[in-house]
Amino acid sequence: MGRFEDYIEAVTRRLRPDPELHMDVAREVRAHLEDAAEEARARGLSDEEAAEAALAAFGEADEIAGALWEANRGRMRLRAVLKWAARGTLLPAALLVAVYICITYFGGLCQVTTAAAAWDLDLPWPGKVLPRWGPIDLRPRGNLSPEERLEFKLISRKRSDAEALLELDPLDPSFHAHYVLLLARDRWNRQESLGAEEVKETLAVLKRARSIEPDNAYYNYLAASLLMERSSMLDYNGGIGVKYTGRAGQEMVVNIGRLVMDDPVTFEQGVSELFEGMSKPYYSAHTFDMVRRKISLAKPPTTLADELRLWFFVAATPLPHLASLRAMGRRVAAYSALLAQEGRHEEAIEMIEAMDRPGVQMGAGAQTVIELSTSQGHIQMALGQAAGIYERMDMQDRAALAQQRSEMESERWNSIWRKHEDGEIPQENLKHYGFVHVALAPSLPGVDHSLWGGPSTALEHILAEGLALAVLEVLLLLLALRCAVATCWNLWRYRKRADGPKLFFIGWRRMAGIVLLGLVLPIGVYAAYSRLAPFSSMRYGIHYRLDRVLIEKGTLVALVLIVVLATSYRAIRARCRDAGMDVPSEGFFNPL
Amino acid sequence: MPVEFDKELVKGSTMPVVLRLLQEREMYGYEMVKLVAERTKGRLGWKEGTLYPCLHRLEAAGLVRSRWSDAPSGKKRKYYRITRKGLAELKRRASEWKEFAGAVNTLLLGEAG
Repeated sequence: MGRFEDYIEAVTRRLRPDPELHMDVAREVRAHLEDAAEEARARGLSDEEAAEAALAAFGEADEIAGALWEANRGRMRLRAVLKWAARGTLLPAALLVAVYICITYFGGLCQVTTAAAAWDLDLPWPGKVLPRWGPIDLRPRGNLSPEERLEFKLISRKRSDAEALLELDPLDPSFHAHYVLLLARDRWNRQESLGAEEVKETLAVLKRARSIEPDNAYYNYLAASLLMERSSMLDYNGGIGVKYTGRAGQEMVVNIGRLVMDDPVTFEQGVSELFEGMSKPYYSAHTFDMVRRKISLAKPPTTLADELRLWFFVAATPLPHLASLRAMGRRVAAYSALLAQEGRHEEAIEMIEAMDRPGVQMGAGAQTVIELSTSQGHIQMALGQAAGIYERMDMQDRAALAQQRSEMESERWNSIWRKHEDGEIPQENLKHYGFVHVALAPSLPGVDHSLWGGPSTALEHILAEGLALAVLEVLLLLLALRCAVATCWNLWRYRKRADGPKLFFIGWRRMAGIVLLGLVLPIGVYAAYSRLAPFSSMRYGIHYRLDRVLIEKGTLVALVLIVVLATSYRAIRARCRDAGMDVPSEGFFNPL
Repeated sequence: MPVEFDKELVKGSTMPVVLRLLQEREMYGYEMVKLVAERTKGRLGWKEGTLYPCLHRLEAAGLVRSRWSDAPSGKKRKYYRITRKGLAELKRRASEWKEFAGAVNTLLLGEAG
């Protein structure tokens, strides 16, 4: 039928710019010619004559070609415009959405983990495996004065910055506290190797801070703990055992320890610092003041990542060096016991009666959970220790009173733990709170986990879903890219052949079908399941139910990919059938 | 041998004729050609190819709709179906033709309209 094909080509040549139309019309003309030839043969004509007759009846090729082009001109023009409009808008729009999702979710999460790592936050491992990338710090507001901008920049975890802040305003108590806090962090941690010069310098720094804020006991206690720790040791063989009630109501015994003094003069200096502190009206480490200042200068968060970065900034607040205050408490108790043992009863009683005072001050001035719980521990221990020492001194009345107060204190604290929902112990409840919460917990204000655990858990689940979405999107993009490259290659390779590949659109209705069935339906079902089903992973912190999180997200991603591929393949086959082309074979991705 | 009608005359009548045929039932191009030849005993002498531009124009104007479907022979054929708009147009064209033919007949042949 070479003659027919030449003729059809001549007739439809002018429709070439619209491959779909061109193919459709060619097919229609071919069907007509074949019908006509077949009928002519039935009348007894030879093949050759029949073909000739069919062509003659159809008309003169150039004339028909012109008429066909004329009749379809409007449609061709409209479709060309639509095609280019679609290419010009849909493709860039899809790319923009893709980039947006990647940056918002994947990028956001990476930024957050970068920030957490940079601030030495101990993220549970889901946070550790994510890549590190992006800005760490908060961003300053746009309308800051140069001084404010400098202050914003200098509020960091670096001691050199804290020093510069002091130069900025030497009279600001918060700046002094901040500097002391970072100095303590850098120096106390390696106390063993703290040289005499460094101790002297540290004491001078504490003294300078105290001169700015004379009513704050914080610096006295830091000095007292430093002096006491350097001049004495605790020996836990043969100390006094103190009983108290644990969280679950069990009886516990703690050893006070025996004080071994290396340098009584320095120790006495420490004791006088202690008494000076106890006479002061308040304690404050100004922990949260600096955080508040920085946040007030920062740009308010606009994205989830911003929000989380802010949370992590709060969580990374340098905390006061409470270990030294705890050590001071232990030394004071052991010192009281020593005084009692040496028969210096009056001095011992004076000491014992004041022992819980630092804890009370600290509790009143606490800005963080960790300060609050340290203060409570301090008070409870001091009272228990007092009872133990009074018993040793054979002062039963005082001992009973101290014991009673200690038990009340324990009960107060234990009741806070117990009050958590449904009588569950809080460790059980913690699995419902996410890893973000675990990282944040020490610096959160308040003691009730449920207040903070809920939002932070929801937040990390939203981020995890965003991440799954980003992964899905990347996979779909790779798939689309692979198809596009193959298509372009084939179009180019066979561009000169008349029966070469042509780019067809599968049709809006089929396109909508793919989107509905492949994207909207699975994602909708997943959203309903994750939010409504009582056993979905959203009820727990991510790190606690990571297996379920991975299975859910993995299933969603796999389902979307498979359904999109299968429905696309079906649509392509249906389109081929419509256009009268060879229909590709039923492959793996055809569900029928 | 059929009379060769004037080309312009044939061209002007193609559109209403096609609509009239499709009013009966859904049809494909060759089917229409055959039917016209049968009913006019070949007198109209259509160049078969001219049918398709006409059909395409009608489709673009929304007077007919097309779809590929299996013919009784089992082969795929492009079937055309008249739309509501097409039926209205046919009605208009038919009465127009009647008026026109009546007027021309009166003038040319002296027949009473």
